Amino acid sequence: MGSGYELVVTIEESLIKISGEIDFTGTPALRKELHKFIEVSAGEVRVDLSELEYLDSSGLASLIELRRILTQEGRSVIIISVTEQVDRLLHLTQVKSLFGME
Amino acid sequence: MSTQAGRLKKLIQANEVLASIDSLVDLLPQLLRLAQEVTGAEASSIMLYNEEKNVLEFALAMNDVLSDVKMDILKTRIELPLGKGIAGWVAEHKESLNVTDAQNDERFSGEADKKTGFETRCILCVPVIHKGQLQGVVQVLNSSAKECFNEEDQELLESFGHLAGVALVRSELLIQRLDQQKFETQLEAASRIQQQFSPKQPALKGGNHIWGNSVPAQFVGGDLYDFIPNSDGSWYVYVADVAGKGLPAALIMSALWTRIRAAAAKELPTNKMMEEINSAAYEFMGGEVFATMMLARYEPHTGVCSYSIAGHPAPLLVSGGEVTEMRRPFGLPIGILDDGEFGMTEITLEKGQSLIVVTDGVDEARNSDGDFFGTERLAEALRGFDNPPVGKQLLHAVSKWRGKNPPNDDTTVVEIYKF
Repeated sequence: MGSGYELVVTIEESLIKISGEIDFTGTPALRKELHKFIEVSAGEVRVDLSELEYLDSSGLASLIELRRILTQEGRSVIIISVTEQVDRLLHLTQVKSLFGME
Repeated sequence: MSTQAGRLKKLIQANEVLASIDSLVDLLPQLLRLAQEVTGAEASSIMLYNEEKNVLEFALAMNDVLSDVKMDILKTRIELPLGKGIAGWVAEHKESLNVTDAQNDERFSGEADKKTGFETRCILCVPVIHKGQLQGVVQVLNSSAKECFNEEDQELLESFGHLAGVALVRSELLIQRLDQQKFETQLEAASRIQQQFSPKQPALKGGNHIWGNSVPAQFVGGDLYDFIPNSDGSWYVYVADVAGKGLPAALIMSALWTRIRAAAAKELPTNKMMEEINSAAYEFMGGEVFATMMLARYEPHTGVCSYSIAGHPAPLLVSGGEVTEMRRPFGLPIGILDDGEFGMTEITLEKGQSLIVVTDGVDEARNSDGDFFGTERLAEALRGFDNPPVGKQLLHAVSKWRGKNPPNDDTTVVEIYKF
């Protein structure tokens, strides 16, 4: 816990990769970075969480916010890869359909 | 030797006085009075360094020659950029300066003299430094006994500057600690208020038991549960978990509580009531925060329990030493979409059966090794208890698992039991 996350964005491909751990301590910074990304990217956004080891509910809230802003702009977001822990949270909260999963 | 001893005595006195003062308001006049005394000066002033603006600010001036009216001119907080005037020079270089002919020193700014009519002959100015950090500067003006200040005065004022630095930092820390205490008092009050949201255990006839308890990770939390009676004798029983924790979650939680109470008055089926709650909650959650929720409507006389789920963990049925995860009708967490739809299902509680609803604080409770309590251990614990009701024992088992580890999330258990 608390070791933080790393965000790598590939703007041309509208691809975001978040690794590490996201809990409420990292969420404010993550939100800012995501907002910035939305402004400079276009089209459907793909999110790679294959190396995200921990995501808590406040972190999930920032992904849901990302989706909401993109949807308002007529864009969409899909999660292309997840770890078991993140998959469990997405399953538990029944939000997979929001991110083009299942 | 006698001068040495005298200086030491003055410094010790200064230290004693400074150590006994707690507030910055009381500290500054004492600092100046002492500075003036140890150097035998006519006037003195202290300026504090404002790190954010990178300027010196006039904090206080003292003058034994001028009248109070003229002194008031100096009391207004004048800002001095680093490098400007004698004090600015000292602050910039973090070095003392002993100016013996102020009027002919190009660094000297005569503005204050012009405003007050005081004539500065000589200035001794030293930086106030604590652990290498500039706190401000102290300056004394015009030696009353001598022509000007000498090296001994300088050494004395420098020693005094160190003492003042410690005293300033200490008073700053005290202010912070007081602020912290005030904040904690408010949080404790908030915590007491939040406990009022927890419903009383209803007294039910015919062998029915509805129980709940919630432990916030911090003073206040985002977990919520409630029992609301309906006119037909049924009860709404729900558990909700606002994403995040602490104050932000608690504020959302209390807003949610009122919306749910309002929606309950319509006595709708759980799926329709969940829709009402969701659209009301979307207004203030606005897709930035969400809450998961399990909403049940329990009929004590029949044992029928219909329920809907908004992204919440499945309820668990404890029966005859077996634990079964109940079906989860589909529903997104509330506050995500403005027009969410929710499924609904029902089970019938038989005698001796217990329905347990938890928030994720239960299976995400970590022990000192960082291991989660987990769903397996949760089921195992529930199987291991003798007979329902088991809610209280479950909360106890979670707290035992956690040991001295502080809770990382709000933890709530609600139980409906038929006996």
